[in-house]
Amino acid sequence: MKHILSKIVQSILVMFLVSILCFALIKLAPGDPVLTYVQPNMSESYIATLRERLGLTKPLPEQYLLWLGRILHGNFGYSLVNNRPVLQQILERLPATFLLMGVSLVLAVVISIPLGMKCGERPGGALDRFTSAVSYVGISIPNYWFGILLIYLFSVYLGWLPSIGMHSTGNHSLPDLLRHLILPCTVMTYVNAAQFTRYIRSSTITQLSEDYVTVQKAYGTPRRRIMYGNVLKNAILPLITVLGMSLQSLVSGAMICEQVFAWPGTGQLAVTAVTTFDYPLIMGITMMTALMIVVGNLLADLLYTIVDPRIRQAA
Amino acid sequence: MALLEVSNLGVSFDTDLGEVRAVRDVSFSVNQGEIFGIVGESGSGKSVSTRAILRINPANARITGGSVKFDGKEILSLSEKEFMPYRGRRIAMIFQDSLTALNPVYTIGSKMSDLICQIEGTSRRDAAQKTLSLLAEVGIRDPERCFRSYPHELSGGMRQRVMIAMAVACSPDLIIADEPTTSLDVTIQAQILRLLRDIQRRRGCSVILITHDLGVVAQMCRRISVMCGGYVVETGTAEQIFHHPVHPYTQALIASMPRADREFRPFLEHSVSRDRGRSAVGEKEDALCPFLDRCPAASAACRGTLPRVRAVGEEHTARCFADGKKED
Repeated sequence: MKHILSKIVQSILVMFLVSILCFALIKLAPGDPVLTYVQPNMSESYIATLRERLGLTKPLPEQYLLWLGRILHGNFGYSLVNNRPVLQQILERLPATFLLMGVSLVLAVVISIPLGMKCGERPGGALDRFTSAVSYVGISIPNYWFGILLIYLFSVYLGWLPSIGMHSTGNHSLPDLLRHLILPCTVMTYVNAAQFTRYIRSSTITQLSEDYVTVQKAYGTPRRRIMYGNVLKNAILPLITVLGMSLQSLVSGAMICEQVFAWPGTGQLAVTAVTTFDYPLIMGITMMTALMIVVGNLLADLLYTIVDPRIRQAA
Repeated sequence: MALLEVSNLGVSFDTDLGEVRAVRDVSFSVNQGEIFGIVGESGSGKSVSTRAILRINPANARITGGSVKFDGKEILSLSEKEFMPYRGRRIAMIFQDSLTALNPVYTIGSKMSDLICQIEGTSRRDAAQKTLSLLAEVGIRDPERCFRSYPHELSGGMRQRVMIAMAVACSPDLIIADEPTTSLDVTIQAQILRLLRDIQRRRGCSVILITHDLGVVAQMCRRISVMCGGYVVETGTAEQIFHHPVHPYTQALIASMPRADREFRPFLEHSVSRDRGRSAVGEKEDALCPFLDRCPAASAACRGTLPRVRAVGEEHTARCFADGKKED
């Protein structure tokens, strides 16, 4: 309990630091926000009043605190490009990203655990060599390239699947959504599963050399039972950390993948925000992503204490 | 009548460096209801030869020859399926490091019950009941609490008691105890050894006690085999081994035992480092005595051939040309 509390306090501190950095970054960025409001017929004194009204003449720490206060109330400001509330824009995009990243994370976990364990059971075997090759490719190739390849193959050449977006025009049915989901989801699942499988494989190899496995063999426990009744729980421990770090992708999305498939998620929003110098939007997305990273790590810590009794006690 | 008869057992490991012959020619027998000791330095093949009986050596280990008879039946040639009924029910094992030998993420009770279910085919409830009574039998004061504990929550002595409880769970005829007290401190060591002996007497099973601690075998065993470089170099009763050792290796081991009445003499200090690894990776010296390079009594005959195992007394055999009359 104490362990968890201290983790939460740590997380809050981290978020606080991130907010300072985020604020500083925006203050350092070129451009004067007042200029967006200035019209040719405004007098110098009016501009000065405007500057004061916007709070820009206040000392920086005070400005920061005001900004922080607004953020804590859920007010992330307004987009410079279309004047819409930043939070609203992010929330609009979240479901799409959540769907894409959530499905591919779950698939990656479901694929990588049994596959990684099978490979770790017989390192150097046919399955292991094949999986190693495939996952090295998965880790090495840029996913935009893989995405484009898939689009070329399945959309352009074979014409089986749609290449962009989430829905066909005017069609909001589930089957249509799923058809759109297949390609981007394949790319993200491949990338994630390749990484996860390698983690599971190596921890399985380590676990199999442990004495408790020999004990089980001595008592005649069948192979399958050793793998899934004894090794599994130990072997997935490292994956928890990796998953905790992947959690932020549920919110921040995969910029490149979303861009390639024109998937209307937050990753694509972030790319748009950067290319149009939309500072409030960039800040909003950065803060949300940071929050998810911190929350993800916190969840991973909590999950660890549930799965691993040794940590529970150390806590 | 011997319960277990190991003859001319050989075990090799296939490694990147080639074949490593860990066990070259090992023969010993264990009688019904006795505690039989195997002593020897690290790498002498104690563990590998006994693990070969239970077929739990690493995958690159290979049995190169010999026979293992259990209760009159050859078990080395059995298929894995035919050997299955021996596991846990007839032969069980206690491991050295009880912390790594118990699964860290499961409670003691759940894993022990699992094993009992699996070996005896009983219901989970009966297995749990049996687990509790076994934990009580090995002297754990609060069996319920131990049942719910994770390995790291128990002391080393408690964990070793759990290992013993697991070993006797399905009433085996033979328990192989591989350095059961090495990772424990001296007082706990004595407790565990006493427990092992009590259990052995109560249940009438046989025990192979593997150790490098001569004090332990002297206290526990009636008969002892001394191993060196993959060979059994001497076998005899505790009395014979400790008071009339024949093999120079045994003599050196005994001379190096710390005793209150004389100054401590390290074991053949001059040659230990030079010979590291010699006992495992063998090439041409194959046919020679494993102790040759370190032996203070080596003769011309020793450089010619490997001595045979010969009887030097009743129940007493040695693999050496020397007659053993040389005084300590």
